[in-house]
Amino acid sequence: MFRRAGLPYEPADVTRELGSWETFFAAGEQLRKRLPGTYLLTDITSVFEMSVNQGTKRYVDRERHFIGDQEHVRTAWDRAVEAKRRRIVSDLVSGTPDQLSAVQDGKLPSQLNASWATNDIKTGVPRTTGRWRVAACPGGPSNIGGSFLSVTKACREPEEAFRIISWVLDAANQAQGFVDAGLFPSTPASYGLRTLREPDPFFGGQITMDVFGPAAQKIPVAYDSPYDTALSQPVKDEIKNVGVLGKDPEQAWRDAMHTCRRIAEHLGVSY
Amino acid sequence: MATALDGKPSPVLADPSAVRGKRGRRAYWHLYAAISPFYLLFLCFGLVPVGFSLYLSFHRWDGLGRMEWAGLSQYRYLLADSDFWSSIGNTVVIWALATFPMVFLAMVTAVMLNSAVRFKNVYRFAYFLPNVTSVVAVAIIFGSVFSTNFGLVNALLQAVGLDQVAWLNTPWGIKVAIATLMTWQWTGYNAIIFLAGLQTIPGELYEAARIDGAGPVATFFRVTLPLMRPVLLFVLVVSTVTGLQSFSEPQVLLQNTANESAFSGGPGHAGRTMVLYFFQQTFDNNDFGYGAAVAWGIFLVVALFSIVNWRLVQRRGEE
Repeated sequence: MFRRAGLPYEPADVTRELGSWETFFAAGEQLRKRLPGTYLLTDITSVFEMSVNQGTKRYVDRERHFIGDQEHVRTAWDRAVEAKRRRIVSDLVSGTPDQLSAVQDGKLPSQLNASWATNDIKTGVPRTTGRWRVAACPGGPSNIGGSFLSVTKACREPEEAFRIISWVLDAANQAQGFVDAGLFPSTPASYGLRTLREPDPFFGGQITMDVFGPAAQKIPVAYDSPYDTALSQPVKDEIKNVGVLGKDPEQAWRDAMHTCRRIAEHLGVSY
Repeated sequence: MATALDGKPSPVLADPSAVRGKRGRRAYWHLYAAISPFYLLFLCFGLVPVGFSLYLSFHRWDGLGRMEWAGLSQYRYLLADSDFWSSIGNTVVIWALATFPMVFLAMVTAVMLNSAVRFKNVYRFAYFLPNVTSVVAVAIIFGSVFSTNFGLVNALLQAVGLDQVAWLNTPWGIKVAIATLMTWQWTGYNAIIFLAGLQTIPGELYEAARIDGAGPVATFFRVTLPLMRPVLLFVLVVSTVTGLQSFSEPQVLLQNTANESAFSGGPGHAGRTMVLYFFQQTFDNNDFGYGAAVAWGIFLVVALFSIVNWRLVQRRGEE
């Protein structure tokens, strides 16, 4: 679809030419004009999420202070609103049958997401095999988060638990997780393993680790507070309302901040 | 005293004598043993968690660390929490949209089943089937049924010349979709309950009504409905208790992608029911103390509705 819209379509070209949000949005406008009914992205939520996750600050800092009202979140918010204003997003909701069928028909030719989304695409729209490529995220690598393992104080066999965790996290197992489900390996030692150097037919024979690996090594590190979930949800919900329901962005921002302040007060987070 | 021996409350025995009572209790131990599984399970999975949640609601707890005494502050926050109040509103609207059509349809179905001559059991089985189907599976199917471009509902609307509705993208559409799912799932179950009620009404009453010249409609409203009042009460109370605790329906229907909260209830929080909100507070935000307070708020709302239902149906009986 990128080729038909006159846009760069080789991963290296996409990374180079659509590397900033501005060029990416402009490409979205060109796509819509050349191929009416086609949108660059499903929703504005992904623009917002990726933008926040490109920064080194999130919603609550180490001093238990709410920072979700600051410039870094507001910039991401404005960028998401801009995506809607420039009409490069569809009115569909990610993960619904409507969205999947639009993806299959080539009406939604790109997504901003983490490596595990490759598995969602493979299982959700298997017929699109060979039509996808992985390129760098506009605006730089973005950290969508991940899970961690820990040994609690109540653990009866901490050494055994540690051995199991070490096994789960060893380079070969982590590489297998990427092959099986697109789960990104927790250790850079996995990147060069032979299993991750295999061309992926779903991505037209691309070695996707060539894109994911370097991005991971440049990933911004941000402090993820235990209060982050509670104090980011109102903002995410409101940006969704802007995207899906067409709510006034200023009103939505005020509502989000109002809810955040209330929750912060309740959780003992200063603002 | 004897009661202290086994720690069980004294059963109602005919003889008040302590000696007889003691021997009696010993003699009946196998009966106690026979009924004990329910009480033990109830103690483990009912009473203890209920008690613990009450204790929890007076604390601040993240689920792992130390609990901190919070007094009534969780409840104070609950009263001022507009999100909780809006979730009550959502729940009640969805409950009403689901329950009233459901009771009506169940009654009609029951009357039809009652007069059906052939394949009675096949129908009963078919109507009961939705109720024993997994809610998750049903919600996934309904997600397709209510999808905008390829959904069955929109296909029907377009067949009669109406416009598409983005069911799962608009606040009212979300509520209607959840309510429809619940109606579909519970109509058969309640029809079977109504049917059982209908079959307890003696045939002579209908005969007498016919002799007095009552038509089918008059018979239904003058004979069937009054005698069905206890069954109707049961159905309403059960529907209230289950309907006000809807969780899986909105959770599965409105959860879209892995990087979004599964408990936010869709655009505009339109599908955020009370229990969904409780889950979000407890397991997304790890705010267990507040979650427990929300759970007790839900309990009060459900209790209030059940009492209102009971009074309404009861009072009509007295008139």
